[in-house]
Amino acid sequence: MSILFYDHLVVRTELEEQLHDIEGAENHKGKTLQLIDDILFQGIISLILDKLEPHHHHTFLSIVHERPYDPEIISYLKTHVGPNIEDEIRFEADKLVKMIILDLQSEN
Amino acid sequence: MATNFLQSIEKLEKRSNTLRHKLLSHSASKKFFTKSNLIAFRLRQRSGQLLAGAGLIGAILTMPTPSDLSVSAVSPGTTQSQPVENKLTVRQKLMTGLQELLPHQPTKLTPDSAEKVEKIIFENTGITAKAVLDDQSLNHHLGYIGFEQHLFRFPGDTLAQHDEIQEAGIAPGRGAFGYFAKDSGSFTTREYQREKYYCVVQTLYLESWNRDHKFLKDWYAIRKMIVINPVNGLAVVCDIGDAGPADWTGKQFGGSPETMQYLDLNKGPRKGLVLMLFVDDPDNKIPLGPINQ
Repeated sequence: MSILFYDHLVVRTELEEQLHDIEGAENHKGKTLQLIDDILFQGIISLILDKLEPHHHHTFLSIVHERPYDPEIISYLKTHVGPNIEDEIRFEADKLVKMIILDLQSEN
Repeated sequence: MATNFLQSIEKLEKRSNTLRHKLLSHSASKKFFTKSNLIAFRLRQRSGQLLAGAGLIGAILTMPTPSDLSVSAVSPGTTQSQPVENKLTVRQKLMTGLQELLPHQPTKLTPDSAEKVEKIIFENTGITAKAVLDDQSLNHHLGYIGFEQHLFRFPGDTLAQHDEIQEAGIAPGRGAFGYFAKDSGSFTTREYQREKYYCVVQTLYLESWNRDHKFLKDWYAIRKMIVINPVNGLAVVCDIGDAGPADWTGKQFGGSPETMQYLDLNKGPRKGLVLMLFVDDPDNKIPLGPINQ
């Protein structure tokens, strides 16, 4: 499974600890991991699209589809969104992780 | 507790749906994702579950496992494969020699340890393995390897055209280093072998990656590696075909379905601790594939 270009900006330690502490079947944990990855992916891509000019959307999404791991995507975003895009992604990811933890904690 | 977990999953599904709707509010993404990409992305994440849940584990379990212990290795300075005498001993020596040296956890070898490991590998396979080559070194030489999917070898390639272990599926995008061949017309046996025996290493986490990624990407692309399972002594020469896995997976390497099968790591958790070193093969004389199967 390829790395995604923003993986280094997402701190998953708390999530991993939370999941580790939850008792459950492995397939449920697998499903949860998949959902967490989907949520982070959708949230981060949404943030980027909100900040990126619409005429760049297609190019950006095409690059993500073709080379989801490429660090040049961050360079592209620095040019077309701004130099602080990594901080913004990091902030958004932290926010998403906190929401996910709340979802996990509320029932356990 | 299981019910609670299911409720958590339900909440996460709702959150995911909300975010997906937000994402699809952008016209470009609607056009882009509704075709297949978002679904493909989910499938990529779920591939392990699909294998387990669709009864394909059975298919994997019935696949042939490494049993023959013949060896074909090339010594530095020679141009032809040469059989190594005492076939059983090769694998046993690799096992016993390495087992007493290697910690059973992800590790970057010290120069002293690396030298001893390299010596054992050379003496038993004739292959010059290096923990450091051209000043390059991975963050881990010993780490957990996971079962990867097939990769697209050229534009238009399909899973059906891969002749082995199709139940592994195929990754949705190209490998981090691109296609193995620019088109189907230039797809030779060399590229066929490169995908068959590809491995995955964490180039993204190299200290100098963000600074020198253009140079490093070229250096690591299809770089020849030797991967050894110290538990059973099985070894494969492979090439770097993709980058990963992410740190949070708890794995440091990945292996193609065929590589994992030959290492006997294609069953159960499909994961295991392996040694991963560069192969110093400037004249490209060492073939890809199992070396002591």
